[in-house]
Amino acid sequence: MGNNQTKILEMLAAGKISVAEADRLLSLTGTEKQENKKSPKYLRVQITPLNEDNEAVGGQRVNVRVPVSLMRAGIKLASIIPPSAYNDVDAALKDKGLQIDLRDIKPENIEELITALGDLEVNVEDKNSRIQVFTEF
Amino acid sequence: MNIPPMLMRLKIINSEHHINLWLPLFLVWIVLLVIAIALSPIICILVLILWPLGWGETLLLAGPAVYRLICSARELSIDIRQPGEIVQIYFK
Repeated sequence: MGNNQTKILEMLAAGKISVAEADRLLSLTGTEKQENKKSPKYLRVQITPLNEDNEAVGGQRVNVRVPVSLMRAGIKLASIIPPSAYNDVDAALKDKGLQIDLRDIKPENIEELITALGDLEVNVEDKNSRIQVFTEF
Repeated sequence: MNIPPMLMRLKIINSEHHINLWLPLFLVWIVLLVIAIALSPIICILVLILWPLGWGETLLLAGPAVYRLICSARELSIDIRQPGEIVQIYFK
């Protein structure tokens, strides 16, 4: 628990602020924490073959490192598509089974999206391989 | 400052190919810059013609957006290996 949160709880215990005020202040410290979060630098995808004892062995191995700035630039590039072309793009995406409306992805939301990616960690393991998707700072 | 990748490493090793190259991308950027400058009057005319259709703005903004995309490709690394086969692509 951070210093600010402790102070707020102490003020609440001393009766200096109400529960509602404490709740509001605590939510603000949460936002502050979110804003201070560093955005990740790379998105990593690793596929490691495993043997029966779940140890890494030789075999097909994939190691991909995508700079997050590339994703940022890609989203910005998508934002310059003229409105008349959005319908065609949306239809093509729906054909591929992706229910994404490109109009919903706005450049001003990119940073929030990328910061949230910092918490991403996907680990999928079966008897033959381990797939890991994570971010690096 | 955004700087495009200057080198690209391409390594393909399998039973048929043995390619291990460091490609000097900075030479490609120089050639592309010269082409872009030569084509700029035509692009300006196209922007004006396509503006009423909504594609003019896209064409105008596409250049800087593509440049940003290329610059962002620095440090992109793809490494795929399987017995007897290696494919590596790396932008530096």
